[in-house]
Amino acid sequence: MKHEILRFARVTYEEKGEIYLKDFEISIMKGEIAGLLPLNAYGLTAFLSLLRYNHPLYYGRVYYMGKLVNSWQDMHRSYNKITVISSESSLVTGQSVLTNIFVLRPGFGQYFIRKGMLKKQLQPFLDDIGTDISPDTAVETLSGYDRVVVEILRAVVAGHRLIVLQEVETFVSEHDIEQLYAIIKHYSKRGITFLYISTHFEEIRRICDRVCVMSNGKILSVLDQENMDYRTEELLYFGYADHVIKSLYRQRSDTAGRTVLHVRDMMFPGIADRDFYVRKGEYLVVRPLDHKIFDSIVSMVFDGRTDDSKGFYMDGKKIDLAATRRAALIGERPDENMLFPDMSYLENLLFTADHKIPHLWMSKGIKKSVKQEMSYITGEEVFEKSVRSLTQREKIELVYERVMLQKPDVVICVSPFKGEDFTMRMLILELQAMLISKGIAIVTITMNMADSLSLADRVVQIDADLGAMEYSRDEFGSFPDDVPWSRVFQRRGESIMTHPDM
Amino acid sequence: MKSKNSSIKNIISIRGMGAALTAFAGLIVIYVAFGILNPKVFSGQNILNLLRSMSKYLLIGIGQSYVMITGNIDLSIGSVVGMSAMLTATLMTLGVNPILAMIISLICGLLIGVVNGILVGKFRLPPFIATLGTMFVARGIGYMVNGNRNTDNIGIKLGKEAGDGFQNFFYYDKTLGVFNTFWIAFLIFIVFFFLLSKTRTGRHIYAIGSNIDAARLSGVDVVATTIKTYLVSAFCSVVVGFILCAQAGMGNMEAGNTYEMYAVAAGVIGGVSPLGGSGLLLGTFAGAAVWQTLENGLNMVGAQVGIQRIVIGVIVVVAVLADAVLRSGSGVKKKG
Repeated sequence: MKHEILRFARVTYEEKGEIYLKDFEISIMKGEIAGLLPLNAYGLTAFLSLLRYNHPLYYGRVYYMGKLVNSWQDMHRSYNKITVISSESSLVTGQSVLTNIFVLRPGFGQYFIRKGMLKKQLQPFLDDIGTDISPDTAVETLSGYDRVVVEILRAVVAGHRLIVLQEVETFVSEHDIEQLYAIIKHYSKRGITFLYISTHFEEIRRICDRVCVMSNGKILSVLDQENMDYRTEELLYFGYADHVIKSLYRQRSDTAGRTVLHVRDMMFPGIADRDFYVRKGEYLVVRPLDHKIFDSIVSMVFDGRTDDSKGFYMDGKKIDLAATRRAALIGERPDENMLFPDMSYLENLLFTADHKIPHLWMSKGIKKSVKQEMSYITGEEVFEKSVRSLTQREKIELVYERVMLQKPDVVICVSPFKGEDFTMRMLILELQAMLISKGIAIVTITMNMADSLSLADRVVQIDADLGAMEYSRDEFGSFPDDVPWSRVFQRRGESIMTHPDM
Repeated sequence: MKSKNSSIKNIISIRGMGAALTAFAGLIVIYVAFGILNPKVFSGQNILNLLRSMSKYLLIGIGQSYVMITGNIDLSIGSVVGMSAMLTATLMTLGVNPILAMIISLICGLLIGVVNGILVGKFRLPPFIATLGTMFVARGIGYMVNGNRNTDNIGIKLGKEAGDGFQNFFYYDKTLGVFNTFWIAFLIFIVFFFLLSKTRTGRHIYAIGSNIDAARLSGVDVVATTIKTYLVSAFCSVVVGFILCAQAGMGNMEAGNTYEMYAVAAGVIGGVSPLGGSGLLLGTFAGAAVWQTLENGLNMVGAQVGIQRIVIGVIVVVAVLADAVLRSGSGVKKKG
């Protein structure tokens, strides 16, 4: 007989007069690996918060481990022993793995810390899942995969029976994800329940027993293994898939065109002295399969730290990508990380355009005319808002429009689709397509391909063992099924370069 | 009427203007209140003295505001003031031409600024620690230049005329009926106000305080900009050192003691956020005036020094608290 571990029964939840969850129904069984596919992000934060903190409900009940833990009629509030693992680490930096797992958890009763004894207690847990993480390692030095494993171990040691994994595929490398899935399956057999949240159906299908589809704070449907096929996926993504497929057929740039960026003699773990070229208006995806390579590429791009002749070249001159206005960098989660919240919308918009417009900051007239011109695209009201109060869509648009005004030769984006729902992914695809249409090249550095394939002209996959492998557009069909949109290329084969309706 | 309303709205919508206007309103209230308690507060002579005294706080406030807008702090301000006063006075007592003495002091002060900027910007030391170190170094230099004692009168070797000339220029003479001290501070205020609000460097300073990572990725040279802000701070401190030297006619080893805190207070009262990213020098002007008016007014109504300190301390805490509350509640909408 299956035991229910979590149930949200007709939960309606509101905050400051806004309803985030409406008649929300979800039921998860003990030892299950359940999936949650949010078609948009609305209500997801509220759901994750409710899972742990039992905030007052407008209506409905929440049961955890067979007990009523939250009810619209009940004012008793408690904390549920549930772990949520997401791209933001919940480990305490500066402390070791051992300290995080044992000492910094509620209920650790010992006053004096006996490190040797704790290590002995930890070893069986490490052996159980076959991991060789050192208990003395400082947690900030852990890879994405190791960090998730430590967070899972901490949850297991603390007796948490439900572990929520949110978009882990975006920060765990392709090499490690299979090992992680093995650990998840191992613990699920031991009765620990997992809720795997991902906006990518392909990822959910790889690991989950069934999936709950969520949209606008409601569960739309629950699909079991039999129904988790490609036809369902196409139905779910109806509209979005259409949008992506259209972008597959956009006018391609001439990839034999002018080189705008030359990456010379790059060295990554396992790869030495490799050159890369990016051409005008091209969309290049750089996909490291290993987190160390990913980290080293990102730090090279952002910090500009390269030696001797190695580095980034434009028109034969060595450049610092962060310093030159001929390149633009867009980091992860640009809506949170790429804006200046204390500056006005206009100042944010023009921040990297002052090299194109002389005396920009001195002249009110220039700013006014730019504002007038841009308001045709952005609308006038955004200029009156503080940047902090912009919606996520407006913030993302602001970042990309700033790049448009900067008019660089190349834009380097790091994991642009990470953690975004369909609506935002569609927006980002549109904005990236807009940049390409202006002849601006885009280099996307990502461990998870997400939707990049739909716009990509080339993919460079970097593997510590196999080296760098380059795929042109007509080779995209050779990617495995679980790479988003690879099936479209598999199905269309050679005809991919010609849209049937064009 | 509509256009008048919209221009007022436009002025208030300028970043940091709300806080600056609040500080000006507070200044008027405080000034009128003290004037009612003691009508001498309204006298022309008192106003002139007030303007002269606030000039020191305005100058160090400008320097500290530049640094605070980048999200950092400069604890070496008071010591650089003292070092500048001692160095200038010592050189003059040795018969060095006042202009040369000032140039040497300025170079030494700016060196401290560069060191602060490099430690904070390049080596990413916590600004509190880095400038705490240079605070002791600068104060130590101030002590050592004249063998651990205050200097003699600056005119002792230069002659009375040159000594008086220096003192009058920086402290005792008036231009257009107002003490030169105020005009010097006001001129420096105008220059740095322009630099902060109308130039690319100014925009970079705000950007670093608002989001340092985004600034770096947007092509801002964070190290160079940080050094510039500490240079401004050091420059203003050196000028205050000249003023204190001119006021006393000698170098005092304790000159500028705790001025770094007065500088923080002037900025914070005027709405410069200690968290970085926002604030106007206009607010710092108001903050320095509030600070000096409080000191002056409390003196004139016979309040004890202890009361003065408590009142000022409470105002600083309230100003910072208001900034924190405004930031946390300024339209941040929780995502669902």
